Amino acid sequence: MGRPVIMQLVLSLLAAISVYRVALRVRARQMGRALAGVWCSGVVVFLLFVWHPEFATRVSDFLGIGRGVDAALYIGVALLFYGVLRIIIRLDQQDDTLTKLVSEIALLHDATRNSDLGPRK
Amino acid sequence: MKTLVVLPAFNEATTITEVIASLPPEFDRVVIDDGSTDKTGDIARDAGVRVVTHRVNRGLGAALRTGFAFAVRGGYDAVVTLDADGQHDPAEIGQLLVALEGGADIVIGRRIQSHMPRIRQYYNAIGGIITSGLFGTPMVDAQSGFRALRTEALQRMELRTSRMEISSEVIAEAHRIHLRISEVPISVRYTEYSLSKGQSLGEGARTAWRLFMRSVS
Repeated sequence: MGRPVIMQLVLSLLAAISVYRVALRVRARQMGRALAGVWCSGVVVFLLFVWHPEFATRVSDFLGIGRGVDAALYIGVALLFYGVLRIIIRLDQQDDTLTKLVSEIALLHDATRNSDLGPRK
Repeated sequence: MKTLVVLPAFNEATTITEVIASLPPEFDRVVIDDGSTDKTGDIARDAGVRVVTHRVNRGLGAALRTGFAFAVRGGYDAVVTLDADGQHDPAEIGQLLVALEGGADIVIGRRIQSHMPRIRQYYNAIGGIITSGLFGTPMVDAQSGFRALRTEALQRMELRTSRMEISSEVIAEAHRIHLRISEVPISVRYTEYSLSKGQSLGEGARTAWRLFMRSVS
């Protein structure tokens, strides 16, 4: 490990902030311990890449990618893709919940309005 | 067979009266007004049918799901769905019900290709390929809105989509739970109005994307 440079310090600060936010969410019971563990593991790997570039090179050699920075980029893109997919799935689920709610309100309103009627021909 | 005709409608003030008037009087009817911003709901009510109103527009799938829930709660044996833009001939409802009584769980009105504009034939073929590819279902007229379904079958389905993709989702669900699907040839009347309301390339692409997401989520 060479002399710390500004970029390494800035990235480490960002990693520390993200761990702090994870800790806050766990304390507020908005995040489970398992997911927090995954986040923290990700941060550890991130810090390894930041402070030990040779680690990234070893990973890239293992993956057959070439340069360490390329491996970091590929992994980053894959993680972002996964994150976006999760968000889309979550939105999809909320969309379905909204549809169920609109439908249920419509049926309840109809039942109230037509409580003494059957469907009219 | 106690049958409910479900008409999903969004801003169909131009055609809804005519479509309601053409429905065979022996069936119960309900219009699902999917948050229309014109007078669709009021006009339908004035035409003498029951109207269930979505407060906000949620899409074709949402309107159909509300219609299905209405049928299940009303104790109906079967549901017939058709478009409110006047492209289907309600006189053919009987043919779909005959096929349903013949043992099918779902009967799809297969539009006669020669009655369709060429661009619609392409959209339809692409929709069929996508449905088959994503869900491993046999090719049918996946996008036809003229259908008859047993409520018993509907209760076993897990429908989750809210927009145009419900047409393919119903077929996928039917395939998943091993329902019997039958097809009956139907005529189709395209007008300038109905063509302006239906599928477009952009809508087709969005439907394909949502179907893909439905298959992976």
